[in-house]
Amino acid sequence: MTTPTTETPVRRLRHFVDGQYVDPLSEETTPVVDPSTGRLVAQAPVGTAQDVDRAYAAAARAFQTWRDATPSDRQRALLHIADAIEARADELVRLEGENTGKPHALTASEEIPPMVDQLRFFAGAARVLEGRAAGEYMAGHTSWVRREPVGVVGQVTPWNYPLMMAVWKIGPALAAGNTVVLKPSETTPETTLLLAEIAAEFLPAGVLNVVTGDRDTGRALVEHPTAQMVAITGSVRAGMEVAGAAARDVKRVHLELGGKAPVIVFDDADAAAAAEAIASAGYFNAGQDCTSATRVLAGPRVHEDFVAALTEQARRSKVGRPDDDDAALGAVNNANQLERVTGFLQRLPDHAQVLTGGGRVEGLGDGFFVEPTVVAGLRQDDEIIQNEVFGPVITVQRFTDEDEALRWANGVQYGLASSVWTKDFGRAMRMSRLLDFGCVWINTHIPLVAEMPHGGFKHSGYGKDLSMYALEDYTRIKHVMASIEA
Amino acid sequence: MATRDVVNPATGEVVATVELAGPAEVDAAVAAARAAFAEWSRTTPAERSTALHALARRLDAMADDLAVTETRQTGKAIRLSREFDVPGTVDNASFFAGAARLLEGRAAGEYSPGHTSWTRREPVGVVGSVAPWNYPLQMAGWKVLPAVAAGNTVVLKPSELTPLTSLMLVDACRDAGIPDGVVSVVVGTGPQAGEALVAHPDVDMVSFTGSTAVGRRVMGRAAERGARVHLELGGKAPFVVLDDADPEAAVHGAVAGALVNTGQDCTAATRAIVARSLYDEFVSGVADLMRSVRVGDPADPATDMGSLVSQRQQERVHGFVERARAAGAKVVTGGRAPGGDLARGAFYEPTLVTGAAPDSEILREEVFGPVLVVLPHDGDDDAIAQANDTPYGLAASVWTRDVVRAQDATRRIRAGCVWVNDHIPIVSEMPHGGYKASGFGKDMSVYSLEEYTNVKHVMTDLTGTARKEWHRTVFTVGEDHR
Repeated sequence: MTTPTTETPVRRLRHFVDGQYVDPLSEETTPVVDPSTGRLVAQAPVGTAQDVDRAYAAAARAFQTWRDATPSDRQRALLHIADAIEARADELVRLEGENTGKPHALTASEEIPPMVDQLRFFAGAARVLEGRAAGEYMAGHTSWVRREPVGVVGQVTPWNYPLMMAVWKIGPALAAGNTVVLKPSETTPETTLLLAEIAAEFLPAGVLNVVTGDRDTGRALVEHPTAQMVAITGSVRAGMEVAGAAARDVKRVHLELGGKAPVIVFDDADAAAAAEAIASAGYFNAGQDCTSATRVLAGPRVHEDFVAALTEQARRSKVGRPDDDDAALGAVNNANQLERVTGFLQRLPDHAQVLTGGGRVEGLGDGFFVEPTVVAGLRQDDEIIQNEVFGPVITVQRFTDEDEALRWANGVQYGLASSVWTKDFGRAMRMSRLLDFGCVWINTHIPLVAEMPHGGFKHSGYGKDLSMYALEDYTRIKHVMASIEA
Repeated sequence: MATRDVVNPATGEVVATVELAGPAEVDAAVAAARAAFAEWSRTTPAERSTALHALARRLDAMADDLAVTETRQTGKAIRLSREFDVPGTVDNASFFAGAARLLEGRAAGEYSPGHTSWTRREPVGVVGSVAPWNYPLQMAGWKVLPAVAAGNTVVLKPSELTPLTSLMLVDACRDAGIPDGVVSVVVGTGPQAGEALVAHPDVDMVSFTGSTAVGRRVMGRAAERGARVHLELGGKAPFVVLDDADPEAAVHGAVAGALVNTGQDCTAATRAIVARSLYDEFVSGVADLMRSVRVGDPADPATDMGSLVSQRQQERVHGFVERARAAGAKVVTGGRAPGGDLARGAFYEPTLVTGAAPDSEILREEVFGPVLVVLPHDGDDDAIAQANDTPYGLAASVWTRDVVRAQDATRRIRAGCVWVNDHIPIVSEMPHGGYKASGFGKDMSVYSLEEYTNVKHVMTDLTGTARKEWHRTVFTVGEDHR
């Protein structure tokens, strides 16, 4: 393993508007830092209200033509974009690694293929929009339903899967005929800009615009009157701000916010197999996944074996730099996140037992690396149980019976994802019904498929990503009713 | 094995010689389809989607070859093959590639308090498909693509007159990585291969596009073992011109709608039912436009209309026109095979017939040639009554500028498709399929995909109890001891 010694020049990024890169309208920039080295790799412009305005103007112009592209045309464009992402995967993987610290090998195998597949899915879905049958629901009148694009959409994406989250946002929006102004996270803008550049070959100018920037840029994006809808994947706090701002002019809102996924391991589960799968689902992407398997509730008899097995798995999960092919996880995304994750660990209550990990990784230089950590002995009202850590930290609580497991599982503000581990069919069915989460996995945790929805309940937001439900979120329904009497 | 020559009907020259399958070959193909079903039915929708996208790309790469071959075996104008048949099939493949991943299902839930229910959509099994000669590639696509997208395996029998592009489709499937046995083609005659396929005990579903007479026989054979049936049969499409229609638009629409594919299209405009006030203008306009249509060498891009599919079809079409004439109808233009260089091919002139008696054969039967019959009507009710006065119900069009009359006609016409101020266009997203003697089951669209699926209801006990409440409707033994 080597640390780069040659100084590569710091890249100066630009917005992507109306089919091309454009100079920012202000000088202000934010640093883009490689989390695995702490080194500055790029300076990204902080988009101003004027930058945002320029992007919306382009999107509004483009909407006039893109809305009339047939579903078949839109399918073709998205298929081409998917092919182009596949063709330029290596470049995207390296760039993503430089902005996020992710292991290259895992980005190439676990992120690129699904995002390509997801775009292809939305390409096809563009052509099968749901509509109830036309007919005479009132005598003398024929009614039918049209599904139309909402219009110009403002989208804000997070830093955990910068490129894949951009795909989740633009896939359904563009498939449905909307045009987009998207702001990536300030720490990870580069692959999103490259995505816009790649897509521009296949989309009319202005259909997809990217403005980089910070929270103020995001605010300008959300408040802009041209946007008919705003979508964000981010924290609960950010989601509430977006919803509040959107409420002022009744914009449609689509929110995919935080999670605190319970992982309920019953006594009849195979402890070793569950521990292996849960470690993989908890430490993947350094735990920076809103569906991460981070909050284990283990049955009274399986608890001891499970904790031992999980601890062993955590010790075996290798932390490494992006070019380390054996790494199971990389750095956390940025200095603030490092502080946040280690802060949770420093504030652990006395009754908590850190079984492995618990701090920053030694020996990997200035990168923001955190050890895969297992904490047991926790109580339901502990901070680390109630709040999203977004780091490689798995907690374990011991429950006494199914009722308590369910109560604890549901006893958080979040409602994004959950899993239940049991051999008992009846229990699996009961839990899948009673868990208050937008996804329930049974004897697995974390897999996604393009066909099925992803999205939360409660403070995890509303609106679905992936699936036809996402596409429908980006459409508006028009009822046409015609008198058929002269 | 018997062989048969595939003949270019425009020239009479032999294009290829194919071996004709009989029951033994059909049996082998069905066995291969059954064997392939075990794995293909368990692929994910995404895997099937990937395969169909690859097929679409492959067909697109072969587009010119397919178009030229289609024209050589059918006699249709090359412009039609290049601009309609082949791109239509490529687009169908892209569409079904996407639709494979979007199967409909109602929400899972507790529809009974003690049970959770959900639905699964599963492939039907081995599908035996019989396709016609008018759009050989497109019809093969309509049969194969939704079936394969849904996870079925298919044995396709194209018409023995036009098997070549279906064989190319199978090659394209192989090149696209679709496993052997998922799509097979058996070339043979109806009595030999078709009968063996539709009557085969291991064929779970039969899909047929062709005449109503044969469709009845297909359904009868399938019924013997309770196999599912999908039938797209004949048509006799009305072309209804109301008195406020744009006459020029109606004239152009009628000529295009009647002559498309030399009239060998089950949705072709065959009965123009025209408001009396527009009748003379319409007849003279259609006749003039028909006379200007260039009939000629199908391979020439300047040709508007090629030949019919065979000499036999030419004789059949001419027989209809001759019998109509003998019964008192007037042939305004056409009504004969062109002479000169075209005399050696199965050509027929664009033909306009008026004055046919209401119950005459040419108004009741499907001619399947470039023949349009015009009838006057006395108002909307009369027009729609005439439009519906047919055993068929595949497609129809209404021509009017009035919003109420357009709505009213779309509702009252009994056909699987009603166009307003147009006739013929199709899109992959929307269904094609008939009412009445035109059959049942849709082609294209998600409706077609659904035809090739079985719906399974899974209902699971949620109570974990040995004795269910509802058991008391059956027995009360032991109730006292609970």
